[in-house]
Amino acid sequence: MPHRWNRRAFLQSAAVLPFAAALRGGAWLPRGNPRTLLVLELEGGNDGLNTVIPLDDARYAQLRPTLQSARRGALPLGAAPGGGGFGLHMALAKVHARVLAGSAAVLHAVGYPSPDRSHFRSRDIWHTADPRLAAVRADTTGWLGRAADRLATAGAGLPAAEIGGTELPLLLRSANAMVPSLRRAEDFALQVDDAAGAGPGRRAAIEALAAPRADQGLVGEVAHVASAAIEQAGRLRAALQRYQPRADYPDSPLGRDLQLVARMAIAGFGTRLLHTGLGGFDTHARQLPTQQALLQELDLALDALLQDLGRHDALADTLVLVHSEFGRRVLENDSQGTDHGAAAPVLLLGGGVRGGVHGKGPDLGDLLDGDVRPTTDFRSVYRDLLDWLSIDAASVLDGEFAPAGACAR
Amino acid sequence: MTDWLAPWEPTAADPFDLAKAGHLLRRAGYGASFAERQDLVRRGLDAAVAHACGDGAAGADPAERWLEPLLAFDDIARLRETRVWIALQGSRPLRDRMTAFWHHHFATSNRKLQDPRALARQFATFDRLGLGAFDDLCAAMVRDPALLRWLDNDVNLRGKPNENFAREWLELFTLGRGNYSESDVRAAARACTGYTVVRGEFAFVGGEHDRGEVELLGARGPTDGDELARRTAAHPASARLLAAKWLRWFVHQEPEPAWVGELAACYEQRGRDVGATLRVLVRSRLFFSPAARRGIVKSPSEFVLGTVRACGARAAPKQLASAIAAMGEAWGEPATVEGWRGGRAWLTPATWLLRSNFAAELFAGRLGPFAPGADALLAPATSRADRAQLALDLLLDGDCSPASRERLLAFAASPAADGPGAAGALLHAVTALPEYQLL
Amino acid sequence: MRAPALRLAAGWSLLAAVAAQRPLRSAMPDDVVAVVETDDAGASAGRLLDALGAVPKQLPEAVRTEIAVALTGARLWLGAAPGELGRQLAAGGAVIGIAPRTGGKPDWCAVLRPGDRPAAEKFLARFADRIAVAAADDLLLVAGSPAMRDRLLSRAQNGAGRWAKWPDADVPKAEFRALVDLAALREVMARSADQQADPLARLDGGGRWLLAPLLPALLQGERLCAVLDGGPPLRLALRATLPAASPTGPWRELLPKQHQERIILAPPEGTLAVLALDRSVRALLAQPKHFLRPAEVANAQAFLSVADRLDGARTSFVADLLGGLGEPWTLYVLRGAEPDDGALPELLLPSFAIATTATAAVEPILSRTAQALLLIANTERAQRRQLPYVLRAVRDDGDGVHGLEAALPDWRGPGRPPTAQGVAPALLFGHGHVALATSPDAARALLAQAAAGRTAKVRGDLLQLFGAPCAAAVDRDQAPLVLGRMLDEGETEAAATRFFQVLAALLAALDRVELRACAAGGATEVELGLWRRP
Repeated sequence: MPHRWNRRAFLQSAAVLPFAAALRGGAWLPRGNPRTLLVLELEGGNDGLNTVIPLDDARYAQLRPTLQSARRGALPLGAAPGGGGFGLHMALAKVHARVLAGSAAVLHAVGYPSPDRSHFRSRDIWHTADPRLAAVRADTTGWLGRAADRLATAGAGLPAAEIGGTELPLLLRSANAMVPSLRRAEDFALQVDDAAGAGPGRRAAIEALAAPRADQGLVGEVAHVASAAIEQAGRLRAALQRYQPRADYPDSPLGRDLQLVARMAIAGFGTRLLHTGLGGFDTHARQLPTQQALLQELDLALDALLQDLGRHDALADTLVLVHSEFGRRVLENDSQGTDHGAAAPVLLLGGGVRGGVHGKGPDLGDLLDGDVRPTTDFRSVYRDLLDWLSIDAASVLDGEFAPAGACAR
Repeated sequence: MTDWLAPWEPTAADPFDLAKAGHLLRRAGYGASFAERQDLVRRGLDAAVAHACGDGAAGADPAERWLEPLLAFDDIARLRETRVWIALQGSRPLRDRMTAFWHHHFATSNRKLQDPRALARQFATFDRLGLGAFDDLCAAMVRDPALLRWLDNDVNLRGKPNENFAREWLELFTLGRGNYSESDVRAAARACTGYTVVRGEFAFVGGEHDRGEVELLGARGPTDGDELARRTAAHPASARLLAAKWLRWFVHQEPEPAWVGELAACYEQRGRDVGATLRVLVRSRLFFSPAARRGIVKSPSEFVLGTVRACGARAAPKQLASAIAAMGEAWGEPATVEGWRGGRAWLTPATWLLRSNFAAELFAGRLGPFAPGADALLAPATSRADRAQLALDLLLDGDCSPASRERLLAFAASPAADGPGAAGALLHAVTALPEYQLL
Repeated sequence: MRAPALRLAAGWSLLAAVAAQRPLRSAMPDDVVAVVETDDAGASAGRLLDALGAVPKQLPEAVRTEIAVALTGARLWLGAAPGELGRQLAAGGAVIGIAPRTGGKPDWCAVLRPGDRPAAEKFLARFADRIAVAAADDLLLVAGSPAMRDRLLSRAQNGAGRWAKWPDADVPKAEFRALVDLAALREVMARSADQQADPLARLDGGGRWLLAPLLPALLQGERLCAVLDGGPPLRLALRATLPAASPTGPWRELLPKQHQERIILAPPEGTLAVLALDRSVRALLAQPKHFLRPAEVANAQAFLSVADRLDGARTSFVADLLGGLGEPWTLYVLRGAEPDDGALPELLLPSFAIATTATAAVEPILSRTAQALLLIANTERAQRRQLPYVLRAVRDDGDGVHGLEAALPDWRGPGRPPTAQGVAPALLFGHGHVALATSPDAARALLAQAAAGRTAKVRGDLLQLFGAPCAAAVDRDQAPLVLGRMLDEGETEAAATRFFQVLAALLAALDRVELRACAAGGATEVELGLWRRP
């Protein structure tokens, strides 16, 4: 089956906007070059303390006798505003260059009060933006899903999508908007059996049959929907045919997913909220080689994405958030690994980023129960992103949160 | 029109023809093949209605027969596929539609339950009682393990009431908003205390039941869940709620208020017997009037299953169930407590594309077996015009606007309709017509 | 209408070339890459058909009728019983050669020593428009085209081509033999297809672990012999020889016994299948980078990162736990354990068990790891409001067996117990062995074999399937199987039922099927054997 659409059903409620009106108003296709957000989740709990490494603190070496060797190769961030005393894991070379150039940002110690160390719960908290989440019910929505609902009521037909996965994560669960899960861009195209040898013009003929102009009533409404669908699919098809990758994506699942993200962002398709994940970060034992390999994969794939976007003039309107459901404990364990922790740094890349290092770095003398104490609330980061997307942050986050200041307007 | 629930009598000017037979079977079932429709036309309206209602259905009931093997799988996808398979057999059309209706009505989701067997048993209850008296169905549902757990009634205890079950019972399943008060909700919650689930079966735990006096819907006294079921089933507001839903499901997605009242009265007169009421409805003048024609946007299951049955084809239930779920109607996992919104909400540009692509893949033979294939289906017709007409007859009862027919004939006559996959493309073209999205 | 006459090209005496004692294959032209031969077609065909035996009685009536009709039709078309036809055409032997052509259908030719020359010619005349024939001495030379026939003739005259040089030692005795010159075949394929990179690259980690030790011979070998033999058992065997000095890469490290003979526990009564692979899981996980693709390496490392923690900080999953177990392991599929209280689950799954030798030191590590896993499983079940597994220590009550068993509480819900009720994991030790199984009965049955010293010898890899127990399993659970097939394939109930009835009948007619593979001593052998029930 070529389609891996998720089961989210609903679409615009007839009570909110009659279809015909919405479509006639042309609100289906957003105007201008839409700003796109990609949330890239590092699944399993990336060890933040070995990603953004304190260079001068002697306690680091005491608490991490084996893992401290990451510090030796760390790339210093001193040249970036706010970066003194810290360095990036050496596998993140390209990210490092961007931080110094001002087109990427690092935010220290992002988390929430009363950290939860369960993968599922902490992930749910980040996804719903609700640290007091009691239980996930069938109608619980995620913060990106709620943002997608806002976009959907403004007329966008496909505001958000999950890239590369099959299950729709909680963060994209919405009340109204349809959020599909895509593996390939071709998934959202009008399929017509026009293989070689078939009569020419089959596609055009079927499109014409579907969307006649003159009909009224319910038939007319259906025809309107059909014509919108055909037009969208046609635009996407044309845009994708024009797309040529202008960067070398690594041959990995993440590389392929990010290439799809680039295609969608460059095609200006109107899908503005995207999510994908990279797994394997739950490094309870022998962390050094595992984290090295994963961060390297991340660095290469991200670099390809950003280069490709830049060369297509789409970088200014794309923002990437890299985060994990929690960091890991400061004290290493007996298996040269670390266990689940609390706050961790996040990365922001792309257009609209105020480069450099933001927030208060982890203080190894002031730990919260052995973990890095959160100094920035993750919802402040979300606030920055929603402001940049021009979506009402207070209603999506169900509260007012001060912006973290890592994004330009 | 007056007296529109009266039986419709076909006349020479307005006969019971292929279009009417197709209309009946599409709504009171999941459609029927061309041969079946022609047979029903020949046998007449009464025989057709009897067939739709499952009178004299031959053979064992497939839903009963395959219940136990289905339980063995303990898998929600298998549940969906089995229901698809049962619908494809078409031996009890109205029963199959009403089981789907009750599932939409008492929308219970496996996402929370994680217990496909309990849901399968709930579907079996709908199969058994869905066309009987609503009172009996309510009596069964107030003790249904899946429903109780879904709405948290298994933790509704004396002194620590949980109102979820009671609220949804009053708001969604019986009376509807505005016909009860908040104190009724609290009373109903107290009435349902102690109705819980132990090891997958209903159990009444007396120690947790609140035996105190409550005032529920105007009557005072100690009450339990069974009494709640009795009172709410018999309440006139329930009749109107159900009547409105049935009209949306079977007649037009925006029914006239007058129709609702009349149908509710008819239902009450028949002792709240669902099957008897629906039999009147699908035999009525309203049902066969122009007002009802093509007045409902097809749900995903109606679209997918209707297409396969209209072609009289065999297809793999696994693929069909997956397509229906992708289009937004994943049986067993409704999105919210209210089920699915339905109506216009089924059709947006994204789902339109899904439907079109489904049809294209199905007829091209790329969705698993589709027997006989598109070529065999259109083989009886030789000329281009005949092929177009046959495709229209198969899928639309030959009943579409003159403009659509012209466009389709033009397509069939053009070189675009030649080459490999021509038959599949022609069938796909018919499903692309706007009329095809309407029931 | 008269049958077309067979036009024979004039042959000349081949006495000098293909003497009676030289194998017929030496007449094959050099462009032939593969040959199929037999010494006495009639007798061979007869023995093969005997080995296949009669149509199984348990097949549904409709299917037996279909088979009978097909056989009768075939006989009519052939004009004689297969054995008789074989005798007529090639009582003294036959060789068919295939020569691939780039971008087209392959060419073929054949040398026949008929037992009844006129009858043979009459049979061949039916295809006169598609073949070219020459006669020489007591031989018939047949080819798909005149050009091929001429090449055949000239080679037959001076029988000193490639096929004359095929070493006799590499020709096993059997009813039907196929010989493939792998080197030549690769040359032809290299010319036609674009160069394929290392085919191993296309396999995923699991595929490589399974096939890598076997593939080198097939990919780099010089000669391949396949035989079809009536036995019993009915046997299809392939043997590929490797050139003397060929690199094998790191894959040999995955063979703990290097495909030498080893001892395994004999399968207990009622076993459905045995899978004894001479493969090491420890070697795979100890050096994942050698064997797996990069994405899989990351997964393996993530898995180990968690697995290493299951028994606390001081034990390593690979070194201590896997290291304490004898390798390779053997997998047994036994019949499902029927519950004592008589309520059969809706679907009775067979029991799966892995058995191997174990040191005393590894027992506590394994036990603790198992308990940790059970805890995790129970937590998940609790989240889904399912009853947890209850752990029970099994003490040695005289049979030398001790360990752990986990089971769900007795089913007291509505209807028959769910499928999962029949799964009760057990980890039992005894008699120098450990058995991990999905039911205690299965684990005990294996350890009982160890106690009684009932073992079997295996070389390389073995997959054994036992017909009667498999048939019984299919019969018992036919309803869910049929439903699954109807839903997946869209078949009608009748067609799906028939499928499983035929499957069960075929299984019941078999005693066992064995698939063996062994890569040792410079040759790789793969053999499929079929034993019928008497």
